[in-house]
Amino acid sequence: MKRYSRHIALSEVGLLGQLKISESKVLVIGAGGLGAPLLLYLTAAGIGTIGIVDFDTISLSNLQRQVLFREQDLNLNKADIAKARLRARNSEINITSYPVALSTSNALEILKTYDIVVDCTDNFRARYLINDACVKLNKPFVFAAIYKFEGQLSVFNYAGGPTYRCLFPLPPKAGEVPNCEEAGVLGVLPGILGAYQANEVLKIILNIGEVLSGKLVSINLLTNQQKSFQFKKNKPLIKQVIQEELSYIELNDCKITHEKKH
Amino acid sequence: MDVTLTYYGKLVEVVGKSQELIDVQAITLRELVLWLENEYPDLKKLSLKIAQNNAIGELEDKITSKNIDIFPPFSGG
Repeated sequence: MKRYSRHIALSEVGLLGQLKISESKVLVIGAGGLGAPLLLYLTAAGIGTIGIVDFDTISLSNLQRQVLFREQDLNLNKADIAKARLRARNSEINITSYPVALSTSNALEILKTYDIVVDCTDNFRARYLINDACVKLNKPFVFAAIYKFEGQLSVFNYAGGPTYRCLFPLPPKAGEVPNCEEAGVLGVLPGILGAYQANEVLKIILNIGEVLSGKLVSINLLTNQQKSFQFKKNKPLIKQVIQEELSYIELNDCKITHEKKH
Repeated sequence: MDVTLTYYGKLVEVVGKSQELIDVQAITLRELVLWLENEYPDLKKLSLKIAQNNAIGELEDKITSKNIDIFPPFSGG
């Protein structure tokens, strides 16, 4: 516990808070731009069990922002390498890597043993799948998404709060929203948003501060402006998601990344 | 009436600016969207949310603020 003395010194955390952190199980889906800083901070904080889902392999252009990886990691699986890099930083916690794509056939199985899910993916197909699986399993999930110099942040399905579909019921059409490869991204942007996600995870576990439920925060790094927009729950839609089978959305934004090379 | 519109994400590229002051005869958000789609036809193809007074509104809502934010979903990560 000496390791976490700076947490324990905070009256809002204390020994009990650090114990809660060590008992929590967090699943991170996506070990890329957002996942890297998030995973580093969750590991440093001592989250007891961390799961990492990512089918992708590390490519050169990833190194501009995916700060968990090194040059010698190129072409290796992101989840497996993330696990290795994180273990070197904290050997006391349990880390499991799932070097697979999240799908309708494995999502419920993988998510069910975790307390909190973090969406660090880069496409709408995955995001809607995560939403629907979390709604079905009644898990909160911490969301962030980025575009060039801007980010969006929220916590969905937390303590009866609204979900991603309450905000955006339907996915956009294919090609409507470019991904980072097409649009470009300032490397530090996911660095900041991923850290914000780690902050929300810790607030949920420790039950301190105001968890960003029912609010979408919009961040602009060029202007340093931050705005918060409230939104409501769509109860009939939530009910529909619970009742229907987990399915892939028909239309997706970027080309499915495991079908293309970076 | 005069309204300041603030755009986010890809909308900035579609509209060509991040903010503008417009004079529009719109009572509801729906009428504002119709005006926008007429001014910027490319917006018709995009999903977007409209917020006023720091809350996301429904299209039936009356315009009650001189500052309106319009944003698309982001997906990058």
